Amino acid sequence: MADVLSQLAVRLYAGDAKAVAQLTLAALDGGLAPSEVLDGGLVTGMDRIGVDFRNGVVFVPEVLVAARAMHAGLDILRPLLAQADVAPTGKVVLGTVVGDLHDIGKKLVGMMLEGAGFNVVDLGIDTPPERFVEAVKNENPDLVGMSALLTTTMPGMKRTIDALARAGVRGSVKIMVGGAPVTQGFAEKIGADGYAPDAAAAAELARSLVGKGGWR
Amino acid sequence: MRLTPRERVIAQIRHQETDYLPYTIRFRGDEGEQLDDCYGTDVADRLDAYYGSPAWQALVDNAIQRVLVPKLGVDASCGSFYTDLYGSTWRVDLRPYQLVEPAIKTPSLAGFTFPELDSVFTADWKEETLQAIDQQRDHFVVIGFGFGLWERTWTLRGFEAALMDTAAEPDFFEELIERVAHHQTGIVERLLELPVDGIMFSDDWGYQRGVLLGPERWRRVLKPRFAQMYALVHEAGKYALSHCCGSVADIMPDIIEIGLDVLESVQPEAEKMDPYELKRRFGSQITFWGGLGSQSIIPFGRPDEIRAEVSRLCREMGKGGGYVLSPAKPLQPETPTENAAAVVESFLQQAGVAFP
Repeated sequence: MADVLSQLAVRLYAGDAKAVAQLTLAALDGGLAPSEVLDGGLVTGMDRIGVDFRNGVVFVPEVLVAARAMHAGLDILRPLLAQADVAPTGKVVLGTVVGDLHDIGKKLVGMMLEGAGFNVVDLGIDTPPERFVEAVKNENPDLVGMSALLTTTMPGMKRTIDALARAGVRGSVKIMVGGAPVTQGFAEKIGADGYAPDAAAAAELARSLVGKGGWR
Repeated sequence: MRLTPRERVIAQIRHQETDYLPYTIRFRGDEGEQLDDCYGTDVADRLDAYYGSPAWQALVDNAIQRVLVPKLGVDASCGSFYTDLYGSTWRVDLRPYQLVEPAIKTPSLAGFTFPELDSVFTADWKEETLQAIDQQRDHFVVIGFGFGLWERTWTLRGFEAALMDTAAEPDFFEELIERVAHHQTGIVERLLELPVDGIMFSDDWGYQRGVLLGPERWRRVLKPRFAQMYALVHEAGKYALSHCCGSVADIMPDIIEIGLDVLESVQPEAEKMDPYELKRRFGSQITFWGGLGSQSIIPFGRPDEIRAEVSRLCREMGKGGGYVLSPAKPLQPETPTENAAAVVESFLQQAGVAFP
């Protein structure tokens, strides 16, 4: 069965959604637990894409296509993982901050986080602080991720952190921020717990923030 | 004899040093599709109050004037949604405009036709444009359109879909981009009939971290097509300029090879886009236009830091010619008034304008 999993990772890396779905079913038929298929196949494949993305071997198109293939497998595994009560690596609430309509960077982060075994709740774009607060209360995530592509909308990150503090839930989550103009210095200044310059680094950061750190 | 702004820009493109650097400052909040130079935004209003009158505006003399073809872009002037000439629908009440329904929903060109150019380039348009160009006498006038070759493919398909098409549907993407190239070549040919100095292309090949499609794919898909378009521009005796605000450091030798005359934006915060390093490596072969950091020093720096950086840009980027001074982006609405004033004053000061 190890062979099915390595095939799964290879086909995911190549962006072959159909093969990923077939191999996911084959692995389950062969008696592997859903969590084994997730970790040994999908997460392994996404890890490789993430590493190669960071190293400039593959680019945004390849990551998107691989993530689409990952979803073909995840769609099959999710209900089974829920049934089996398998805990995800962690839960993340993500959103692009208020006033900002940029989507793709935050979506890429979401895909890489899913590929790292996280359960991702994507609040979408133009997300006001109160929606982050509401989602933290309702979803009880480990992490909140915020994105901004405009210097004009970056203050929305600080406002969201302040709103979480006012609502008494700041201490229950780690906060990570990113987006083109965002820097480590800005993240520290507004009291975020971490900053990542790209989607692959964001997945690595998220793992370390929930104490399951680093690339394997 | 004193140079005109136009002569100053041409001298810079020819890599000759000038009495002072030609410059541009724009005040709109975002890249738009209107005629350039429309003041009256938040930052400009605050500067009016800061200086006690709008007289300062008359002192700012942008050496390069852009005339745009509005019908090819997104019109945000009315309502929350806009359907462009190609059939894609945009949300326009916030920036950037968000493509909500692409014209081409599956990877197939079946049933899709490109708009007729006669519907864009009407006699009225030509007359108005000639007037607009005539008003910019003595300035370096460029005409251009938003959404270049790559960008038009994604505005037709949706950003994510087009990105995935490049990897997963290469045959369709090749057909699509070939059709867009044919269509846009027709646009460029019409623009070349006008008495302008250059054609302003706008195609964001880079994002903050690098070349969006990857350097190899860019070389395969975009490079030969832009080589042809730049050649057309040069055959007409005009200059080729291009906007690109992300990181294109990895393809700079290619961009130079296909003959781009001026690269605009040079956003210093993007990966490997430090203007001084670009100048050192490529400065003798291309002209850089921009370079003052719109993501860092302008919104978040101190006025004295801005003045010092402008001095350094003038000194180092202007050495040997090949530079037009400008913020990488229009001054954004959150720019502190003192910082906006520092930009305006330091630009005018290097031009020898007594201020205020």
